[in-house]
Amino acid sequence: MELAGNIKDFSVIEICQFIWISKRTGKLMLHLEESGRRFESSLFFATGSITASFTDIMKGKDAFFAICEAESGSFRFIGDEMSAETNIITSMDQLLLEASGRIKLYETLRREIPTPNIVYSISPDFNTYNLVFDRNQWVVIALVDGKNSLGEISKELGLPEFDVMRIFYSLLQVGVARRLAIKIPQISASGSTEKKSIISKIIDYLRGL
Amino acid sequence: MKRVKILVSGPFASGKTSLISTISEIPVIRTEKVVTDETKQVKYQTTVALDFGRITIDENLVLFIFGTPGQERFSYMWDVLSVGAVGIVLMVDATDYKSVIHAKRYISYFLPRLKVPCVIAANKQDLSGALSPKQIHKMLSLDDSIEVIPCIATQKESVKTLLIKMFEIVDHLGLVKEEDYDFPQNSKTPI
Repeated sequence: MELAGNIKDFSVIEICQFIWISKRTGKLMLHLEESGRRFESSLFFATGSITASFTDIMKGKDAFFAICEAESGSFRFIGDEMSAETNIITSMDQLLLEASGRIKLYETLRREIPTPNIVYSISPDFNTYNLVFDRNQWVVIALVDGKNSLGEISKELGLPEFDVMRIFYSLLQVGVARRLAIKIPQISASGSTEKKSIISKIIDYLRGL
Repeated sequence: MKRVKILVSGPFASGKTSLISTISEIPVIRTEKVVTDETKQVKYQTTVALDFGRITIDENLVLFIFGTPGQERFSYMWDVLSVGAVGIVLMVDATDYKSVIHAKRYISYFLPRLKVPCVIAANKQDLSGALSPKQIHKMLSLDDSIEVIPCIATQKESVKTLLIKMFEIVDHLGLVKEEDYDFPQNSKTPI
């Protein structure tokens, strides 16, 4: 029986559970869409357990979680295809448990942050004297400027969008950040930037302030 | 995106937070506590960890301004905050003789460690009795390579002039290579 369909009918976790129970070996091909971005990904199974996971930009557990969080797309299972690389060694029950927990958290985050295109700014009266931030929170705070969207900050830092959403959620909860606007992504015109030293640019900018 | 970091340091109540607030495009992220020791007669609140401001130069370049705590009992933050900075502004309260003398300690702390350009800001020049930059230069026994620049930390034009001067020195000396500017990748700072 061919295993194929749409993830709106069966979630990725449900499909993985089915493959796990039936102890199949092969490759699950997925064509997914998340926040308007389309990407291809694959999960490799050996007697039901996931051994490797790949998206266009990630691999391993991060890729698996990103696949589980996709909103829509299609899947097809190709039997007996193996991956040359093993990048997941977590047991299947642990992996599915983690993924389910993340999806629940993701849904909570999504209620507060419905799209990564939201632009935030630092609240004007914000004072950190009674707050303790970790390194990642500080890194995100440093890039909250009322211009960059959450998605852009995620790209800039090279952190998964989920992780940045989680950080933003915590910042929103304590009132550090506030929502400004939703940015419509634009294709930037590149290649015409003037070659100038960084310090000269700063000096010119300060002169023009 | 390139991130360039500068450090604003100096004795207690010398105007570090004011300077960052004046020039930063975002509300300054402050870590201030109500003063509980004898210094409360001078200032109601003091920075205990850092002040943070930023200026977006263009879509690929951001200037981060970090302010250190003024009270020496929070000096453990100095090392942490100074990593990756391309220049230092050392603030002194030109109306306070003790602040100027105190600045010597900052100079001897930062300059050997960072080996980046430093300018001294003779702050509060709008107040009567303020020492002139020349007097401060002499009091601190500075060599000619370190400039003392008049400053009023609450006035944007004055802060602009000060920062431009500091970056001109950074540019002139060329001590830091451009590939080192993107400090978060290279540094061990928490930020």
